[in-house]
Amino acid sequence: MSTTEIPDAPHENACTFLTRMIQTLPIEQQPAFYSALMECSDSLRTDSKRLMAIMDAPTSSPGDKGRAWHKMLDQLRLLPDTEGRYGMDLAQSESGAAERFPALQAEVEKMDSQEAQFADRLRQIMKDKHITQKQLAARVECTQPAISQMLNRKCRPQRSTLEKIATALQVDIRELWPDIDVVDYLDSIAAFEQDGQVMSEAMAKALRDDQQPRSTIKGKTLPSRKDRVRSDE
Amino acid sequence: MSEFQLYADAFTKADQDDLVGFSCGETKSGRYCTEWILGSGAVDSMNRGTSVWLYRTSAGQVVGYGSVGVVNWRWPLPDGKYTRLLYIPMLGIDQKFHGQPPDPDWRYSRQIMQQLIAEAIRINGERKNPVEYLLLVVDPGNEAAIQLYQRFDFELIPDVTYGAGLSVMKHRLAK
Repeated sequence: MSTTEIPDAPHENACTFLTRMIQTLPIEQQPAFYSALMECSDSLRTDSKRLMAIMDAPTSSPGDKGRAWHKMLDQLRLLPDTEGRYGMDLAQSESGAAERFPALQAEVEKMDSQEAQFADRLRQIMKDKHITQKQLAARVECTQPAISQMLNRKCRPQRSTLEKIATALQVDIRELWPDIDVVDYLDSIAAFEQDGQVMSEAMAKALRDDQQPRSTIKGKTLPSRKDRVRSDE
Repeated sequence: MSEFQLYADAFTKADQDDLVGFSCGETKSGRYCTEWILGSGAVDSMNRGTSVWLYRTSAGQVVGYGSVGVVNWRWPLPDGKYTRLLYIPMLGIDQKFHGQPPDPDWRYSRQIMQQLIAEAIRINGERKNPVEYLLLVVDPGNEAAIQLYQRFDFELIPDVTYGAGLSVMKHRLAK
């Protein structure tokens, strides 16, 4: 155990992500986190600082921040597996953590949007099946840049596109996007936002209805936190 | 000012880092509310002119988000003329804050609804031909959401469903 240097305590302004993640730990584990950070070896502390820098960097993606956080817990030996072993790989440690810290596991799973997870799955399936972006684009009758955007997590495919991709790759659609209900709902919202569609008679009747009393609720605007922070500075 | 006062700021891509761990819960409606803001749904909607706000506590914790948009639909034929609709595409509250705080006067969901209605009225007021109704679509199985909207004078439109069987609700805006 090293006693040479006590690291700076993470503070709210500089490390809001880290602070939030510490708060997701069970309350009895939070002191253990700080203790481990203060009492670890110099090399681990240096590595922890590097991981904190990733968590703090505005350029880090949410996924990278999440992985950095998980890696830090792992190397501080706060994620033992079910047999008490340490230093397992990330997949193993996540599995062990799920049993010890269900709340943390839920957080880890939520690091990435379903859209991002889809991109990872698609990339892996394409790699396994040795299919290029151009080949996939030809099979689903879209452009290569459209496939590239999906792989780079820049757009959500509609269900119809997912079906075409699944057919082209000869996989079940749920292998690409397990929570397909979410796609259906988001497609509905995106469709509602399309200009130029003709409303149904029932909808038109409802919108021309003047029987519904006018609401007396005028709402209430909320103050801006950014303005408040600026004025405090 | 109460410690439960929410703050609203326009959502930008830079705010996405603050959404790590944000989850509206594991119900079906919770999952799509989460995905809309974490995925590209919110940004796509903003590209179509929707305003999206992120709601935070005074300490900066993200409580939820809300949105108001406009879309040009057409009346049924033979009229076929364009009409602009004002609607709430999506709102979501992190599950940690569901039902919080206990004081109904400061309940986060109500502060968010008040803000969205105020913004809808403001947007409507800027129009030459203001609309009568503010709309939203809701999962008919999401009773908690429907009750919240009814508390704010939204009514379910009978016989109208949209997309994947979603119900449509309307609120006749105050003058």
